[in-house]
Amino acid sequence: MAADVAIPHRRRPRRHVGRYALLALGAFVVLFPIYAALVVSLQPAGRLLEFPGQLLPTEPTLEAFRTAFDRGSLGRYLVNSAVVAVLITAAQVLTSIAAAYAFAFLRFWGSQLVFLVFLATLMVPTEVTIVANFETVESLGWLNSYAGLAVPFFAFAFGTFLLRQAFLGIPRDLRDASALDGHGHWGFLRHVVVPLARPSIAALALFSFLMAWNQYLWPLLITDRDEYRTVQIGLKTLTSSSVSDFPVVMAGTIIAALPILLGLVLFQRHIIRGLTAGAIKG
Amino acid sequence: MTHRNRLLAGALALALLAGACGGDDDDAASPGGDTDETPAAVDPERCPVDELEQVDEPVTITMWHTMTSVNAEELEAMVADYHASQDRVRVELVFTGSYDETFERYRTSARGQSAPDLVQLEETTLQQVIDSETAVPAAACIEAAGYDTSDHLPAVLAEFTVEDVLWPMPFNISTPILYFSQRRFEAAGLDPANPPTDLDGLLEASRAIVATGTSPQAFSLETQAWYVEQWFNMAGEPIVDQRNGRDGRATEALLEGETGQQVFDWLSTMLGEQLVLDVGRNPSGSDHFFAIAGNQASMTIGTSAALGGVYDALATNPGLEEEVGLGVAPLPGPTGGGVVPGGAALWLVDRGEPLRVAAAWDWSAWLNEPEQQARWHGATGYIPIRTSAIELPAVQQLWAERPGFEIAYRQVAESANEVGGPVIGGYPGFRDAVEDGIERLVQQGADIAALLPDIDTAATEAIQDYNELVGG
Repeated sequence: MAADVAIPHRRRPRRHVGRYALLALGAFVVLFPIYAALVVSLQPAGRLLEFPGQLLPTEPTLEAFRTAFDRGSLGRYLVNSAVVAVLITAAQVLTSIAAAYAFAFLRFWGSQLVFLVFLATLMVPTEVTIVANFETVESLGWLNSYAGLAVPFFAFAFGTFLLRQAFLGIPRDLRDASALDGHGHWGFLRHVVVPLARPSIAALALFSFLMAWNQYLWPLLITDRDEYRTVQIGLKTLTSSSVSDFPVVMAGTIIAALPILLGLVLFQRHIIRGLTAGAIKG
Repeated sequence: MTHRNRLLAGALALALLAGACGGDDDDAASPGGDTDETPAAVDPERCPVDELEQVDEPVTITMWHTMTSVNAEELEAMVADYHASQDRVRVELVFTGSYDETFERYRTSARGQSAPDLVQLEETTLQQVIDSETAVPAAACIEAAGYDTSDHLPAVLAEFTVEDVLWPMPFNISTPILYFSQRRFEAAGLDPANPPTDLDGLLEASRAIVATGTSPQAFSLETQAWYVEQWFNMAGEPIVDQRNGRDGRATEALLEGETGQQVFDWLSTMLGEQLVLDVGRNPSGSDHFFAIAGNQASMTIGTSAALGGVYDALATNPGLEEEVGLGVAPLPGPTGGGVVPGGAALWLVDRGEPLRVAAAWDWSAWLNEPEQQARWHGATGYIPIRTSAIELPAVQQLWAERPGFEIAYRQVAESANEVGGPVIGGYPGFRDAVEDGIERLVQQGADIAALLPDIDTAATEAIQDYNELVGG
């Protein structure tokens, strides 16, 4: 069996060795810090002081995880982060699809200009808008609410840009064909555009989720109460410059990163397709 | 502070000052005015402590704080005990991130309905909060309540006093100290009972440590403007004009003075002889300690706030604890003045409701009671700010087990500094200038004669940029 496969592709295994070695090296560089965090989280702080450090936890204990969970109120905060991240992701996908459709398939006066203005908003750093956003949200009475946490992020120029590029790759002939089938814009969008652009949409969804999950400054600014605080704030309450707290900090970091890592594993296929979509002409 | 943070800080400062413009004209007249009259801000009516005694319902106040981990847990426990002790005030704690983040949030919302009643901010924000005209000075409450401050450490009060007004109520105080390995001092033929007391002493001890091969480098150094400021304070030399900004608004840096020369010469020699292990800006606040634990160096200077964590971590690794033999000593440096305390204080926020100010004062004063200061010291390692606190069992017990804490306390208690550290509006830019300068010296071995004027110019620019913003 092995021989059957090997003979016709004699040169391939050798090429693969090099490629995989390179990939393994890359994976090591990326994964080692995560592994190091895990090791630190599993042992008493005093071990951390040893030089050059340890590759295997010598006295493993889950104490730090328990402390992190309680001290950082991570249970409640994880739920809040999940709610906010799901809301933001869903809204960004919807608004981006709608806006990208308009830019890709509708011809209207000044569409190029409007698109440029859209893109220009990517150049404005958060720092510039944060005071104005805060005042708006405060005047709407949205401090300490899911609305305040999520609504300001419902539209996202990068999402529109990403999907517009994907939509432009869809031949206009399909539009004509679907018009002949009696579909209007809405039908075309639902039955043709969205299914064809699914990889890009999945990539956008994951990207949005990641950004929403990692938000720190905004939730910190507009929430006071535990009912609405998110996991990154919980993480911050764990931090301290005290060496003895490092295991707890690392344990908290791992807890907060787990949902993202899981999502990455589950959606991996879509992300890779999404990011490379359009890179090769088919 | 990163450039990103600076951008944010700039935007926020503008936003806040836009709201504060109305008061600028009055301000212009007051700086430098050294009359004996009580400034208008210190009006006891802004803090009606008697009214608070007669409330039927408790007044609920919000306190923004930056405490994390064990410190946050202790603060929460203290709130519970305060509630049990009286029915006038209820405190709601809100964690608002780091000192920088808390200040940013404060600037964003100090004028809105979501402002706090009490906010814990670092000593570096003194001038900016005063300029924002959002705070009631603690001095107003001290006058209204007839509060006695004679038991407080003079250096602590001085640090938070500007133009003779005590602005925020001091709370969590720390000070830089020398950390060293007693075992390695012995190995290098140095006496651990007599650690270096000045910069020359540090240099000689460093030479001995490296010459005997005890550690590859002698001294691990984090890039911190705070230490440079402290050396000026220890020399009794102001680092900015107007007597460190205490008599009026500072307008220029004085980094080229005698102490500046001495400090940068010393650093240059230390670096030139490869005695220093540079840990950069040290964002984790721990790398300089790790260097000692791993015997890459034998001494460092760091904040006393880290002392508890260092003791705790060593306690979980007895072998290492024995091998290092932690030694603590006062910060070595020039003589003539004294160190000034660092850390944070509690600002009473003016939200147009004097009763809330009185309530916030009541809680701040409770936190300043000797019993609470003793307990806070025992749990967090911050220095007690009352002389009578140190006789209490919580402190005595801690000092018996961990003598380093007593050394940190004595350094502040016995400080001859009556001026206080620099009060600068553009503090972040000032510190950036000093730290950029240290970095240049460390990384490129810059020429001191050219370096110091550059640092001084950049620091003065930061001071003046801010002053222009407030029209001062």
